[in-house]
Amino acid sequence: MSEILATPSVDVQGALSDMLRAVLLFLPKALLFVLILVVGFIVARVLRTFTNRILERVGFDRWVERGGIRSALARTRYDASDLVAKLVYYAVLLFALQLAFGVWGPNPVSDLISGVVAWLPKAFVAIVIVVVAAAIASAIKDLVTGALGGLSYGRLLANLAAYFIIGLGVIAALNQIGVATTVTTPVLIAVLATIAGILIVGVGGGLVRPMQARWEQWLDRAASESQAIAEHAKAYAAGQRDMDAAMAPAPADPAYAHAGAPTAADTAVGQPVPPPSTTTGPGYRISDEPTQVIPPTPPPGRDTTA
Amino acid sequence: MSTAAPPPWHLSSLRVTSAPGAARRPAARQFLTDLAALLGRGGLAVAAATPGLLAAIDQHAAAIRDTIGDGWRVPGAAALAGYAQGLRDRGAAHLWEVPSADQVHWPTAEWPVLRLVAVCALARQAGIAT
Repeated sequence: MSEILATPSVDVQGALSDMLRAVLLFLPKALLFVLILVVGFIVARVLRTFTNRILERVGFDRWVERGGIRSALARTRYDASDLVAKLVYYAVLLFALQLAFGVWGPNPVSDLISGVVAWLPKAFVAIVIVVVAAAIASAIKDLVTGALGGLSYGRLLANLAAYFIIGLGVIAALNQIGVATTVTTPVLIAVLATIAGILIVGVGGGLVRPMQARWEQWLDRAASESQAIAEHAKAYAAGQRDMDAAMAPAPADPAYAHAGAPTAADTAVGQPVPPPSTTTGPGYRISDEPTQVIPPTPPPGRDTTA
Repeated sequence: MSTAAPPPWHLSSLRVTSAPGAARRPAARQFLTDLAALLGRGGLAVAAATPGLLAAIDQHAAAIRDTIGDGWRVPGAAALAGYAQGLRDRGAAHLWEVPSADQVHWPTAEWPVLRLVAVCALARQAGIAT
């Protein structure tokens, strides 16, 4: 009977000891959590002041003046080294938080922080993209204004080019951090396709007729030149044939007993040795007869269409 | 062949001119101009004073028109230059050179000389070379 009466007190004690055990198990982790947070906070502050001092000593602000950031910061009470130091501070804090929540094993807060930390490099790259695109756009704007400044639409072209490049940079940055990709990508594709279509139809279509005229000119010139080449070759062959016939001694003339040895002095005045392709009278003779005008007739049997 | 003075023909006669470049209008005209300066002008001047020579040159010109033209129209610059170059190159094979006008004894002129003078006459008719 005393055991039956003694059980509730044993249960309470067991429950109390269970509770104590649970608290004792929990307490080191909580202490570790708080410790990590405090240490991380202190380290973050130290790093912030340290970074700020170093950057100011190195002259980081002077480098930043080159870009367009100085005008953006001029109205705030920060300068570039302050911003970088703040970034370092928050990064260290985030890291400390992740470590601190990690002491309890997997938990939703830890997952959330891991997700944010994994997203940070993408955000960094997106910022870099936007800054670079802005720099390129301003450089191109200066270039175009310098080159076409004299024209009435020079500034308009420069502004258009700059906005186009900045738009490209913004869309690329948004895609990088994964914001609204299903909207920005189709818009970009539509704009580019429109520009391409305008160029193709406007420039290409407008060039069709002048190119037609040019091609006709070139082809006509090629045809006439090839015809000249054909005529030249034909006449060259005819000249060679005639010269051969002229230089060859006449076969049936007894005065040329040494036929077969063509010399250049064969054809002299008065000796009828016509090449078969001429009409009458190879040389000419001094005579008292009146000269007759013989109309040109092709000799029979000759091929005039050689 | 675009020098101021006519080229020495005994040198250039050894060169074969059947390349397409020789057929192009500027090269053909230049050749005919050189030929006229060397032989044609002098020959035609003598022929203007001697009717017999003129008649013979006319007959040669008619024969050339039959050979390389269609018998009625004067042949073009490319055809005339090609014919004259054929004569000259074949003459070089037979060791014959184109003489200059003052070297020719016109009463005993050779057949190729009269042919070349006829080529120059045709070129003058076509307005290609003077």
